[in-house]
Amino acid sequence: MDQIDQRFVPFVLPVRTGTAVTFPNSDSIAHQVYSFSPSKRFELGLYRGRPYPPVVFDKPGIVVLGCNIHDKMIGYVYVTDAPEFGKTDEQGMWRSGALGAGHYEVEVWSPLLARDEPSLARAIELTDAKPGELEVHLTRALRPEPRPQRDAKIRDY
Amino acid sequence: MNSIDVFKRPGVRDILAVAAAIGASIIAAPAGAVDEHEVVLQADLRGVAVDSPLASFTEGGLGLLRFDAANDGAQVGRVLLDVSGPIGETFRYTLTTSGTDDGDRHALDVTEAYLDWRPYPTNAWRWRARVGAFYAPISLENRAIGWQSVYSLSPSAINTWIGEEARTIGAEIATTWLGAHSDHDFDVTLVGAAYRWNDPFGVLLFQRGWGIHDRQSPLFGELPRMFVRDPDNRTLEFFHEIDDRTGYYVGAEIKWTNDWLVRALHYDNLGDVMDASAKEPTWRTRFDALGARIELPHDVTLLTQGMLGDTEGVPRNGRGMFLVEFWAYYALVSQRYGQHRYTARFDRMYTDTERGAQFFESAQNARAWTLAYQFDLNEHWQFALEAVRIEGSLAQRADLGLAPHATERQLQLAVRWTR
Repeated sequence: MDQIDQRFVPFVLPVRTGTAVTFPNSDSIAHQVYSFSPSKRFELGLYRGRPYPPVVFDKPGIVVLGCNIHDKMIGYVYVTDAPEFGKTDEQGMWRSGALGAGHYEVEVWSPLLARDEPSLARAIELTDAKPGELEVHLTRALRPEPRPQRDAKIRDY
Repeated sequence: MNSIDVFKRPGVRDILAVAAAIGASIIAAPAGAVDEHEVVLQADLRGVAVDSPLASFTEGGLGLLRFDAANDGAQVGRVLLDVSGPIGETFRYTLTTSGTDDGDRHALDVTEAYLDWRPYPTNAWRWRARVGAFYAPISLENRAIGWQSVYSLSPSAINTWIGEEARTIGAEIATTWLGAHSDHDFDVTLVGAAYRWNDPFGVLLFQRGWGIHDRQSPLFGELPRMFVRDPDNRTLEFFHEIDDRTGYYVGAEIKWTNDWLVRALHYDNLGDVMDASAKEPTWRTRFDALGARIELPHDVTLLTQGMLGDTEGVPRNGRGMFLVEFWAYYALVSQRYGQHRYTARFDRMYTDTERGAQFFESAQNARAWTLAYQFDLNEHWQFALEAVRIEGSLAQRADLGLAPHATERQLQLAVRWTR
């Protein structure tokens, strides 16, 4: 999980429970990363350049990342036990080739979902005969994504 | 005690010496050991052309701009040295020094020096405390290192005045409810501060009215006095404690999705104006400030701030009391387009003596337009072109035999090198 132009990059990082994640800082200014989310509380004291040892995300859940110096920086580590998971591409597509026949629960999540968006959990039945397809439509507009702050001179007084 | 004695108090020069030593040791230390310390050095050179019948306030005149017709040509905008970094896990220091090469008492002087404590948030409420000398959270323009405007060379009249006369020398505590961490779109910050050493706050607004420029008064600096009544008192100094009373401000800020920001602040230095024994009597200055910043698509920013307040003073002879009401507002639109930034701003400024105009009536009614273009060649070089036009009246000019109404125009080309 990198830090570029005062943003966490990627904005959302999905990982399997137990994954170790490093937090490099590619900005020329120092950041101070923390999370007080119940599934992972941690702090990385002010740093730039050399990263800290990786942080192990050992419990499933959504971990919200912040920088104690730059409040507008926000990022998410999505820690999951699901057998298959991933991030959608620019077109909103995600493919998995690893699933056999069976009944599956599919859950779609984004930090940008509107607060009143109805549940995006769906069920899908897969058979060996043909690939399964599931379309999930949002009923509310997504919230805006954080913008990059390319001007390193900004201190926000 | 006269104001010169203040500078001879043990401690003040020691602070400067310690600050210089911190700066020097950081620069001299091996690079690996100072990884987290940030040293920013900026040299800002200007080409200036002014069309104004008035001498600049920096020369003791009643012109509202930083430069006057006698300054046409090359000028130093600012030399800035800013050092910041961690002390342990949760403390940070910031020291901002600058020089403007216009005859102030020190070639390099401190504009801000503070210690900032930010414990890690353990829940949605994040706390922050500062002690030292720093700017109150009023300006929405002065967001760059060294409290410089991001949008133009010269900030609005409101923030020009803050840079001239206001500095919190004391302690501030703030708490932010981090909504984004609990799936909300907004953060809320509440802030409060207690401070001293700001008793002359208001004297410049009383004497000269609102100005538009980027010269920040350093903590140990001075300006020539516009109205000299006492030949031994020819300068204005802003950061003194006279009445042994503590002032305060309280404020709030709301930020939605980082694109909308509203900020409000109530400020009152609680000055005791009856103590007329000091060389520079105390001014009681209080105001409310309100501002909003909106980030639109295509990197367009809309900004507006307003301020309404009054300042009260007693002349050194102790007879009578002045009360000057003031207000100002501005609206700014700016667009960043790749390496380019275009900004237009309209300022409206007003002061009026409500009571006790025994020497002169302090009254201003003026408008200003500012157009700015900035080009960031790379992270080290910036070029900026800015035109300011101020038109309006300042009643106290008549007291010096000048026409109250004037139009002042200033064109500046800045070359800024930062590392």
